[in-house]
Amino acid sequence: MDTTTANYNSTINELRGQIERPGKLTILWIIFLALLVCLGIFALIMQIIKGHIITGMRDNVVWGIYIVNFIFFMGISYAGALISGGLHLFRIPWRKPVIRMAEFITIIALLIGPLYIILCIGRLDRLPYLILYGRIQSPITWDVIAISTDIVGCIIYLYLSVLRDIARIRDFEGLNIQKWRKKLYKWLALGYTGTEEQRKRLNRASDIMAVMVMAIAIIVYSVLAWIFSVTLQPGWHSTIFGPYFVIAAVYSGTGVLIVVMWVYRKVYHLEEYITKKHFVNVGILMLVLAAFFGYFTFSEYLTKWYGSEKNDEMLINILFDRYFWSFIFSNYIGVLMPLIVIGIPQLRKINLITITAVVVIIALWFNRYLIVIPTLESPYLPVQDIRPDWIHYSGTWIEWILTIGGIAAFCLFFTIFSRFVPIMELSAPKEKNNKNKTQILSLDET
Amino acid sequence: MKHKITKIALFTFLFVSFVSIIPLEANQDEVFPVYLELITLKYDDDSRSLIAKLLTEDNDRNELPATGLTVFYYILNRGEHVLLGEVTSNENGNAVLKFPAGYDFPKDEEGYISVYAKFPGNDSFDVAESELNFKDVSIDFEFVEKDEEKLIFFAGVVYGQNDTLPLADDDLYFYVPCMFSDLMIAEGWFEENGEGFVEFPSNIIGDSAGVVEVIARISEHFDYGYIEKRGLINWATPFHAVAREVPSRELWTPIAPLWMIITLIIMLTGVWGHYIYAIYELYKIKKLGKKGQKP
Amino acid sequence: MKKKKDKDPNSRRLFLKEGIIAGVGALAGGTILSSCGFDDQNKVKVLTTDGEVVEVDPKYLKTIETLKEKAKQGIPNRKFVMVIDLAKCNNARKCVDACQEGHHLPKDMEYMKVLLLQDSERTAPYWFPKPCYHCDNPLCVSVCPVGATYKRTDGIVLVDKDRCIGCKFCMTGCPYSARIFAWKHQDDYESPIQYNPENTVPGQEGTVSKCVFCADRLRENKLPLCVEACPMGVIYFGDIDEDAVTNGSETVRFSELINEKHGYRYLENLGTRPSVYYLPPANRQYPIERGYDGLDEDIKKRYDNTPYAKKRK
Repeated sequence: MDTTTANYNSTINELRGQIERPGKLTILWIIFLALLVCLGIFALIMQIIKGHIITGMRDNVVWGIYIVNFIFFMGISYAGALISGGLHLFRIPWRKPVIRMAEFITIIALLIGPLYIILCIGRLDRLPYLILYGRIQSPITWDVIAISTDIVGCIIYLYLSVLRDIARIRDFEGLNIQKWRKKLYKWLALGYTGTEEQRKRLNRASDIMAVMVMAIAIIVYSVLAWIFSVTLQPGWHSTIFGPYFVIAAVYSGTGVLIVVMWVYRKVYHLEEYITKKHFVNVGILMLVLAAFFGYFTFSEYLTKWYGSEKNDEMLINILFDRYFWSFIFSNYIGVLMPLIVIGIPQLRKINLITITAVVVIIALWFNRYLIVIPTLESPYLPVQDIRPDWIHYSGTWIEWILTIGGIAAFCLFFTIFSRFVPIMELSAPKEKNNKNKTQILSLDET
Repeated sequence: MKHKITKIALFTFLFVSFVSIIPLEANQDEVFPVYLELITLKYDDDSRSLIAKLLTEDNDRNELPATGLTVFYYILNRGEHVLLGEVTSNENGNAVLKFPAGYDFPKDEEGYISVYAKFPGNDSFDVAESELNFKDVSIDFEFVEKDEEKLIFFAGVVYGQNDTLPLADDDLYFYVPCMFSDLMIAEGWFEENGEGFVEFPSNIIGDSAGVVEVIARISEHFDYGYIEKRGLINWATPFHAVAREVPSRELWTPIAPLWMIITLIIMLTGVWGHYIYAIYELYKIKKLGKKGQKP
Repeated sequence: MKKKKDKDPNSRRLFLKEGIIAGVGALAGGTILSSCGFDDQNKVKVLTTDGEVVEVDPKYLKTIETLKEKAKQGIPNRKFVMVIDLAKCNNARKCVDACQEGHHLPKDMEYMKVLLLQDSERTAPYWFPKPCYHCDNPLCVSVCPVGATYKRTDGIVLVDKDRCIGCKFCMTGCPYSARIFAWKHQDDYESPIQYNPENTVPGQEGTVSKCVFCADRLRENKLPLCVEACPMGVIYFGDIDEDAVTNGSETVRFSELINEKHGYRYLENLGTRPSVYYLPPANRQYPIERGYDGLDEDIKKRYDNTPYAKKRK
């Protein structure tokens, strides 16, 4: 055995705690999340029985928190795809500890997002009609085709990138895992033994899928943006929605990635692998995207405000009247905070960066809320009604519980996936304490 | 014993009389009012009908047609009311009495025909009656094309007791039938000699051959009632000249525009093609793995 | 006795009558039944002309399927148009009431809405009846992912509630807010009557519905319910190819009406090409205040956001 193999065995050795039988705390955590998910399922059943009247949606604001969540989750999914694809394709040196997290974000958010659209649908018993009777001219059909294509693509991409690690786990002896898991690893590893030929093929396939996943992410999220921008609604009928949504998505994705990095670093004591450098690097990506996001948002609202048509003016009034604090929070604080925290080197501390990431995530959720709902509250023909829930939208407890349920499901899947495959790529190096030279011991580098 | 029988008899008598009074009183409260309007129509084939329109009210004072009520028609002939017939009102509340073409109505010296319709009333509905005096008239028209002008010439006569006079100094309206109602296309005037003409307008739309039905009608005349005459002519613009083309491939048609379908196919083949390639590579890896395991 | 307030549209009875006769005739004539299993459990409830509810094997009701086919094709050689005279409208709301009654709608669902519009502070307010415009470039039809809503050759846009999945994309696509959604369960929805898109009755929870120009009545050459109910004769309806529109009492040439009174379409610049034209509210017959007469307080409060209502207080 050469030293490289010894090295990489030791990396599994260090990470084995992540995939062996879970400890008590982990089990409690999983049960807690499962309970929240069950609460969400209960809320869903209530909604099916009592009808959509128990949500806050009414004839004018027909799309509420569910669609905001849908956009949000799909956004971070595509962000994960773009980030992980980009890190992989350009062989960014510091990618190994974080790329797996990005890939997980991609696939898990992709499984949760479409559930929210399903919650919005009035007749769940007719869901197959989307495929049986689909009309090509409808943006929703484009979205159905796009999301299904994307799910398949992301599964293939994820599989290609964990294949190597599964093979290593299969080969590592003395791992304290169940028999069925050992068999599963063997089956999934596809007889990969790291030969030259196999390596070449795997790399080729990974590279192609990385490109595909990046391209699809951009296209699919633009399709989602076009669902809004092709209508005639005054706040939505904007030409820049496609790029705007993509930028906002990747921006929110970097936030989620930083939070995930921080959580796993703490929980699995990965301080040696995920260093401040990683936080700063992803943070710089976040800063650049914050600038772009701020630019797009400013461009959007400046155009609406300056040459204001009657409905644009009405929309801006609603935004600054009813939604003032959300607007300030999401579009000012959400943009400025990363710029300040990461732009000023003295402020680049891991904890501060993580707090910024949390702020960014929440700010971007509100940004989606402010795109969807105020527009629907200011249609061309005035809403002449006296029932307050028909004039202004406010999410009911069902919608909030389902939001929490979705987030819990996201965490739950993340926990389960990361117990199956280590959260870092197994050839991740230990940073040598020698600050002068960081010798990177990596294997299978191509 | 006698005492008891008397008591029972008295009680029974009181009870029966009490019970029999109630329906009477109820009856008086429950009689619905009936309104009878009597009109006369003369049709294209010269037959005539007398229509008694019966209306009643329900408990909420809403007007309803009164169906199933029998109306008796009388005509004044030499000073005497002669029963013409009895008709029951139909589901629209109309009791229609029909006369064939050429029916000889008895007229007075001025040529008036006097008819009288009565609904005698029953337990639920009140009595209603009405009288109508009208003159028998006849109108006719023909289409004439003169010097590139399309005209309709019309004439009318009024039948007196012994003679026939021209129908003079009155309006005549021309209509074409449309889907829900008749559209007025020209207005004419009977001159002193009982004749007149109108111009046929150029913007009438007919069927695919350009044929349209024209109706000449006098409505609600105080002397003549309703009278109409119909005729067909092919002076209208043929329908297919205005019919629109229905687009077949738009955003809102069942079939999508061609460029959309082509774009979609190209993109999907491109993407899924790459997927298939990646899966092929995986398959190859598996095969190589198996080969590697062979001793 | 035919009441003016007719709850059951005759068309439904007529078609069902045909269906029953066809079914009974088939039985009586002893025609060969198809060999597909005669499943007792799949019987369908229908309303006979005597008002009874009977259960019939669905294969006798082929007429109902052809109803849906007919509903898709539309009345041949027609193209319907509506003209609303804003100078005459006084918010009597008889059109709203007649429509709600004819389509078994609860009081809070309106296919025909009457709004109080005022284009700007100094322009005159006017009452604005707003049915579905059955646009010639219908965005709602373009965005429907399952083809539940469609435009027919006679211009009418229908919704097939058996196909609608309730995604509400069409509701965001319509700039005129013409569509409404059935958010909750209604007792009316459990009616044993067979559904027909031209009729929109009975409603279905979780689906979208809207004004359909009373397409079932049009087949019998009857005017839509709102046209007949209006006491002021505000709404005119007709076939644009015949160039004639009528409001029940007067029939006028469509082209003359539009030309003389400068008819226009609402929000023309959106490019939807509606089939409803408006005549401007010039030379009003009655002052705008008439529209408030006899209204419930609830309905009066609806208009509180217009400048006119604010000044009124």
